[in-house]
Amino acid sequence: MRTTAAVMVAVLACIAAAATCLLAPGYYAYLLGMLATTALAGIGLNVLLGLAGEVSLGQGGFVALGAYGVGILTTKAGLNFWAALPFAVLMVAVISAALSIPALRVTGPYLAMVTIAFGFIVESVSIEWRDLTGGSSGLAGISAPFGTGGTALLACAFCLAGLVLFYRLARSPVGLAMQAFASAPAAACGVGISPVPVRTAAFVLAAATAGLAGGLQAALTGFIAPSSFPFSQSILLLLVVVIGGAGWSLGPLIGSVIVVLLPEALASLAEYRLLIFGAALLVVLWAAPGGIAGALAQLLRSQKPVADARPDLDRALAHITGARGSLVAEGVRIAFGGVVAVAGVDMLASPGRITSVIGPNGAGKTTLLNLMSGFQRPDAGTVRVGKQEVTRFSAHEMAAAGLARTFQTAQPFANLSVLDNVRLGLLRGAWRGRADSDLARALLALVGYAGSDATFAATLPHVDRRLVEIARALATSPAVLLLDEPAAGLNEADTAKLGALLQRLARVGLAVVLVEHDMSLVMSISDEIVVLDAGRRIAVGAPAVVRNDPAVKAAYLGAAMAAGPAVARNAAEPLLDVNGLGAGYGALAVLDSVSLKVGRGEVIALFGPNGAGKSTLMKALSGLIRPVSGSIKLDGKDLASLSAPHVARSGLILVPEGRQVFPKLTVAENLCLGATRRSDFSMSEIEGMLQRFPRLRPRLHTAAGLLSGGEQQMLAVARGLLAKPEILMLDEPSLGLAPAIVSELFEQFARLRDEGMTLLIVDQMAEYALAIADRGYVLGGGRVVAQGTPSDLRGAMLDDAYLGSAS
Amino acid sequence: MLATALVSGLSLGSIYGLIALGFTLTFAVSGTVNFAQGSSVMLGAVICYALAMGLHWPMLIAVPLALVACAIWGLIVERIAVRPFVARGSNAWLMATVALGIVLDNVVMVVFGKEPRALPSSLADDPWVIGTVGIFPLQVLVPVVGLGLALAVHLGMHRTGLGLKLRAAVENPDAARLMSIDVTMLVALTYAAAALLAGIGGILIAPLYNVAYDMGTLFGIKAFAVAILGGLTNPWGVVIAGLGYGLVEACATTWLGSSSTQIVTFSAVIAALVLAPSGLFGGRTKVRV
Amino acid sequence: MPTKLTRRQALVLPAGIAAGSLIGRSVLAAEPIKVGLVAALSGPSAKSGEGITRGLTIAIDEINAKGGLLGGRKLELVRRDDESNPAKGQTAARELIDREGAAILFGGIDSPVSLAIVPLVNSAKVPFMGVWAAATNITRNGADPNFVFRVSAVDVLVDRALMKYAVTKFGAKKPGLMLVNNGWGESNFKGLTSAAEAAGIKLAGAEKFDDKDPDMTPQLQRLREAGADTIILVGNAAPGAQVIKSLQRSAWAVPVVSHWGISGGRFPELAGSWAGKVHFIQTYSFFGPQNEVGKRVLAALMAKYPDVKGPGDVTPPVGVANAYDAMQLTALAIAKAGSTDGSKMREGFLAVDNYRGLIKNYVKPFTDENHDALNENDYVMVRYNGDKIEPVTG
Repeated sequence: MRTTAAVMVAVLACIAAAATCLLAPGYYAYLLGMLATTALAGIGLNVLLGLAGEVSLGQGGFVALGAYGVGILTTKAGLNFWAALPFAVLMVAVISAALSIPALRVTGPYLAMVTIAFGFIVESVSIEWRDLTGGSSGLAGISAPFGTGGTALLACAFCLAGLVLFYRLARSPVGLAMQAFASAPAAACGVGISPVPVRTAAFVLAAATAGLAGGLQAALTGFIAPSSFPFSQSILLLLVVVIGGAGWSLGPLIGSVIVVLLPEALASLAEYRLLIFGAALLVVLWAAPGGIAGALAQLLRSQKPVADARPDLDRALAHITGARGSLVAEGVRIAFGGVVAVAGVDMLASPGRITSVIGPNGAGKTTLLNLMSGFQRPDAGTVRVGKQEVTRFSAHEMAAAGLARTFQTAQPFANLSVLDNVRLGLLRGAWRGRADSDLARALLALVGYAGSDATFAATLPHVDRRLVEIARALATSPAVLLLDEPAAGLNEADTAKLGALLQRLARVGLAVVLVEHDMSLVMSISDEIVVLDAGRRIAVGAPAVVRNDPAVKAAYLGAAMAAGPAVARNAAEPLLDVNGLGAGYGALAVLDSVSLKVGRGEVIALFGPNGAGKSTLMKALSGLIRPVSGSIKLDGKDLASLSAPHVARSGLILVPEGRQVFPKLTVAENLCLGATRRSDFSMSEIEGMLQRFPRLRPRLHTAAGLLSGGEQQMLAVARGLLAKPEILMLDEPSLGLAPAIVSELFEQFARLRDEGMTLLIVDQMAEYALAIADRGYVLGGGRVVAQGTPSDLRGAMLDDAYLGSAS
Repeated sequence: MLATALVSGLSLGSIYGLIALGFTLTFAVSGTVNFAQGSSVMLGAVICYALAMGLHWPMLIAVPLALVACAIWGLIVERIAVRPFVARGSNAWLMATVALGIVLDNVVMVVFGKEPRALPSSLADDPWVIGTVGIFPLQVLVPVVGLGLALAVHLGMHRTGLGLKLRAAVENPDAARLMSIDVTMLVALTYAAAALLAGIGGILIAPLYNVAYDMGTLFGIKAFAVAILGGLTNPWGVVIAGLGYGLVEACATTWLGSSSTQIVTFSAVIAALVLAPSGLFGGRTKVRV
Repeated sequence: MPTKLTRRQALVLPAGIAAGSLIGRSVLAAEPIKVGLVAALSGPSAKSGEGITRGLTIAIDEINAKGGLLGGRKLELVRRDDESNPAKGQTAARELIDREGAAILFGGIDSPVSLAIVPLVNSAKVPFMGVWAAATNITRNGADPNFVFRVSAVDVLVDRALMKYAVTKFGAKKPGLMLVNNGWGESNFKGLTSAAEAAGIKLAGAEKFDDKDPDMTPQLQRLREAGADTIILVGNAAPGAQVIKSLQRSAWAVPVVSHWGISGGRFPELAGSWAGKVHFIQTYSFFGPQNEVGKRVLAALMAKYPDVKGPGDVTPPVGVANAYDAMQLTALAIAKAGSTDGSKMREGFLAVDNYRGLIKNYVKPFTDENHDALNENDYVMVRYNGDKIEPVTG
């Protein structure tokens, strides 16, 4: 019914437009013609801005080019309008394709600059090339195919065609690819979309449409001059698209109705025209980022009922059993500025098996995944999919080679529907061809997605984003499926379903590669496990073998520490009191009602497997994640609503994971920054820190980035101490450090404890942390699963939490 | 002719550099810029004019007050056209700052009037002449102030506590926040400083040029080109790019003729970006996966 | 789905437009007589639009005070801003003709805008009166019948006068041209080049500048090196002032002869202490002994506009004076025509015999061959003294 109404409205609008042109061929027809050409240029810009997500401030230049093309060809070359118009549009397309070479190497403000510069060059050339352009006096007597009314009608017809074509483009493979690239470039490459042709297409289409609008405008006015295309026109075109609604088919039409007709209606307010437009643009950007069309669409949106038809799961399974091949990596290696992230790793993932990659934080798992999926190029080594060597392939070529992947943070194409996400996978970057919606639905059903397929991916809950991403990866019909922490943020039931799904995929013949922190999942579904530590493969084998490998245990838990146990002390008054804390990242909830207490002078250790929420807890406590639910009381003062700087000012100081020193600043400068919260800091205190960490003394005036990992960690601790913290929180201080250094660090922590400092330590090297702790908490799945004294916590339970249980 | 081109190029170029310096400050800390920086140039000049010529206040009062107004304007821009969008993870700040610039230009047009006015200065009346080359004292002052301010920005960044905090925030905003550095406030401060620099540029150029509601647009665009060429994150690169741009502009006019100036300069901008997509002096390009 | 969104707009707008246009046409015959003005009311040339408005307003007030035209119909001025953009100007002209039913259109300072409107008025058969834009082909547009008239300078004539003045007053042998980079500058480039040929002298060169150029020394230096002994300046007040400041900076005391563009803004304020060195052309000066009309107009301006305290505040005088005379001539033409029909008005213009006006005593101002009411004998050379314009003496 709605569709019928829409068609009727459209037909009526067309009739009214035609009537205006034929019955009132003067001002009103002319105005309608201007409206149509403005809308047409806006439709072009909408391809660039609304679909490809790039801002151009030089569209006026392309309009001018098209207008001059028609003007010159009809007045100087003697062509008639019908011959001149296609030539002019072609010329604009060629010029814009040439411009896209520099323009598309850059993005954001750089692209804006290139387009601005181009607009000015067009203006200057149109003034200077006097023989051709008539200079500033312009070109008069441009031939039009009809009178004003007819030409206006022609412009309306083109505008209507433009609207329809845009509507179809936005839903076509190319249009979907543009939108995919705008929303998640990496994921777009992952499904085989090659970035350069897609972005060039958007740029050239936008320019050619602007040129067409310019050509029509030249015929409509019969006269053009450089002053007909001022710089402000480019901004007004942007306004047309943004106010109307970027990405919406009707957006530019609505926008140009406002931009063209409003000043005519309010002629007496002409002075305030730009003021009103500027303010309107701000308000729209603030309040309705989808523009008027987007806001109206939200009001009128009807929830489509979920399609009843039973998806054909067999078809989905058949689709993913097409390709077969194993993933082989041999000696792959990559270093970033001297730090070797992956040091010559071999691995084999065979069809029909689930191969998991595990290892402590910073072991190089995700880097390995990136190397095998074309997102980074290895310095050495080879990668093969089946028989094909793919070492030098870029990410978008990997899809064709039969490899698909998902990302650590799920990256669905947020501005597209769930169905279109999967259809893009089916297309594998192709510009033509039909993406079968039924097959897409079947794939969604296969992964267990139960929601509406018309929902925008941006609004999906976390678990569904994961599922859509997996369905999209499967749609490319891969031989190898790489999954980067797919279970992160899923609850137990969802994790179990995911495990079953992966096993099912392996059974039909896919080679599944899983990087995952959830050890119970890994242990229960893997056929083979590769263990990485510090960029090297330290173990490989079946779950049971790996579990009992002493090297693996050492990598995860650290060796026992020599330092003596804590002197038993009475728990003092609680200094930090955390109650029912919940936190997460956007749609992803990580912490679920965590409560813990830290007494003054106590050393508290926090344990838990990767992904249990330890680092999230540290970030939530320190104010880096806001908002959080629950309360965080330091000495009675609630910190839960404070931002990080204010939390730090209160004396709750975090030494963050990965050290986070300021690499270009000197050691001394880093240390001074630590004392920012204090007014009584004196430089002499730095001397105290140098005595505590003598390794830093010779490096005092060296840039911190040049320090070794251990020295950086010492610097980070010293920096934290200079804040004279009430509580010092240490997040993974041993990460990536040699055992000797780790021992040295923990001896310092023991000394701090003995000096009465309150410490809250998260460390994977459980033995070290247990050695100096008064009490400890174990986190699992975002909750506190155990707490007590070191002796309570030591033992099997901890092993289970870290390495999962075999059962 | 060379001497004339040098004089014109260096004095205009240092103005471009000065305005562009504001872009680098905000971009380094927040990854955003005020695209309507030209409006801040205009605001400085217009308020200075209104106070000095309209109310007949002495320059010693008019100039500082105009600069305070510019700094406040910078804070307003950050608060209403940048922060809301950055918080949303949207890049619409680009268009929002353009929109806010349009609003300011047109409010000034209504209040101040459409006609250009002159802000006379004794420094721009009696030129020093050597042979056929003349120069107003102000034209000597402009590069001196420009380079002086660039130096001041440099020293401020490297010799003061605030500068240290800023550099820390540039390198690692989250870690800086953990040092109880209020990065949000620092970003606002850089916007104020950027508008302040633009305002100084506006007041310096006003006696050589005119004061008008739309005087800033072209300065803003050229300064942005300069900032892009200089690499956006490199203050000295931007100053050098500013002088270079001014010189190319003046030389193009002198030897190729005035009609080619814009074609030459803007083509050079595009060409430079082809050769060095992150600017001539821009160091790192961030590759995000 | 976005397709449904503009239902209301889609229905109402075009229908309304169509209906509105029909109504608009049917009320053409009703009172009063609308006089349209399409000029730059915003932007750097806004002052010119204001001057024209004042000249028209004073004349219309006088005519209405005498009881209007055609048996009591009052004149009403309807203004539209063209933003110096030809496309906008054409939109505005169409709107004034079709929706407002203006009987005649007046044009503004920008030649390209007028050039865009000319074919429109000729096909719509509505008279167009130029009061500022001086491009030669505005009136000599090749149309027959030609509905375009002008009470303003014609560039070719002005250029001849400027060149003659430079040669006789300053003994120029090699003048250099400083031209604004737009259609007006271009029109004068042609005019001045042929004027130099006619005078038998060579040009040192022609340089262009943009309205927003902050520094014109490089252009001037080129002319200086080429041996220019006089500068002929064509540009509006603000950039013109930049030219003078750049001259001052290079301490180049070369004589400057200028077209009248510099009188369209606050030239003396913007140009500073060297403003008075420029000799420029005007059609009329409100300084010195005034004829009767001059006294009356000045008094009316001072009564109507509080900011006009004396002849020095009538800026730009050329806009005010041309517009005033043009409006009075239009009134005579309408009276002759006995109607506001375009073709009849055109005949009316051609039939005007005699009008004792502000700028001069017009005798048969318009003929079939000549639609320009002013000629080279109607210019005066003036210069600024402080912010007052006074004739150059001696």
